Amino acid sequence: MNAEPKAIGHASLAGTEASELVRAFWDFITHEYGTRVIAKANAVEMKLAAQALGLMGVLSAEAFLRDYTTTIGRRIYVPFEPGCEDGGWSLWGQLAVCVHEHQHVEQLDRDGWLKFAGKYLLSSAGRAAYEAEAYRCDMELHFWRTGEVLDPRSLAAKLKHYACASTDIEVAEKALTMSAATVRRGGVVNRASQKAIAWLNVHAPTFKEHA
Amino acid sequence: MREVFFLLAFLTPQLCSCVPVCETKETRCNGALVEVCDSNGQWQQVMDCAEVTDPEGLAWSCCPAREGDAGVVHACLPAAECSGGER
Repeated sequence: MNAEPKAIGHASLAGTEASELVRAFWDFITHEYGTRVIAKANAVEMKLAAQALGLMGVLSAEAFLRDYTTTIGRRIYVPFEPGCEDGGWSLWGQLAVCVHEHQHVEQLDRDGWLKFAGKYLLSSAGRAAYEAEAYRCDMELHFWRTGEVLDPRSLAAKLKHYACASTDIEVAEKALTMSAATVRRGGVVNRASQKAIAWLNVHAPTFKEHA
Repeated sequence: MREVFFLLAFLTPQLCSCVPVCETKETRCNGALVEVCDSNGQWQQVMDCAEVTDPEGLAWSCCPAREGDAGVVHACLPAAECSGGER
């Protein structure tokens, strides 16, 4: 299970062609991984989770339903319609969160349900490690698009929303700093990013903002 | 006796994983694996350099790299950049 807040700071893609490409990208990735996209606002289980989080004081129910994409197993609950710029989710943000969430599916397949769910739900260090790996997708996609590397500290700081201990956030920042050294040399580590970038190179090279 | 053996067999890995073996945030190369020491003092894999891809199809290896203010960390770098570096 994972809940990912919407990305910020990306220059926007726009136009019908970009919308169709983002929709096609989601179709490609969900077909590759056998995942299903579900509208978060209509899912009873997400409404219940939102109320529980609200009652616990972790996050307001409205924010959870509006600002976070959530993955449970192979079900991806999204607060937007892929390809439609609504609710403050940019097209690039939709694309980036798609890759991030599917890296969690990679983790699930690699480690198995028991280990993945146990580590993610019960261990601050485990959750921070899984998220740091998934945030590397954001870094790899951003580098593909802009030729710049996202700040490891800013990415790791997002883990405050995941109830991770401060030491685990520092370790995650270190792991992302190590990843940054590889990403700035053009290396792509995560499998979800590798699939995404291969598709983007063929179908959406115009999304690149640099030569 | 058999029960004690099974209990020990179950507990030993748990106990081992509680004994710190590294300093938190320390980094290292373990063959092609890039590792960081977690908050429990255990080595945690960050990357496997054998799985890194790039547009030029280069070979990637683990070695130290200077990364801005963070100083020297271990990372996957093109093998040509690694040669001659500290492992």
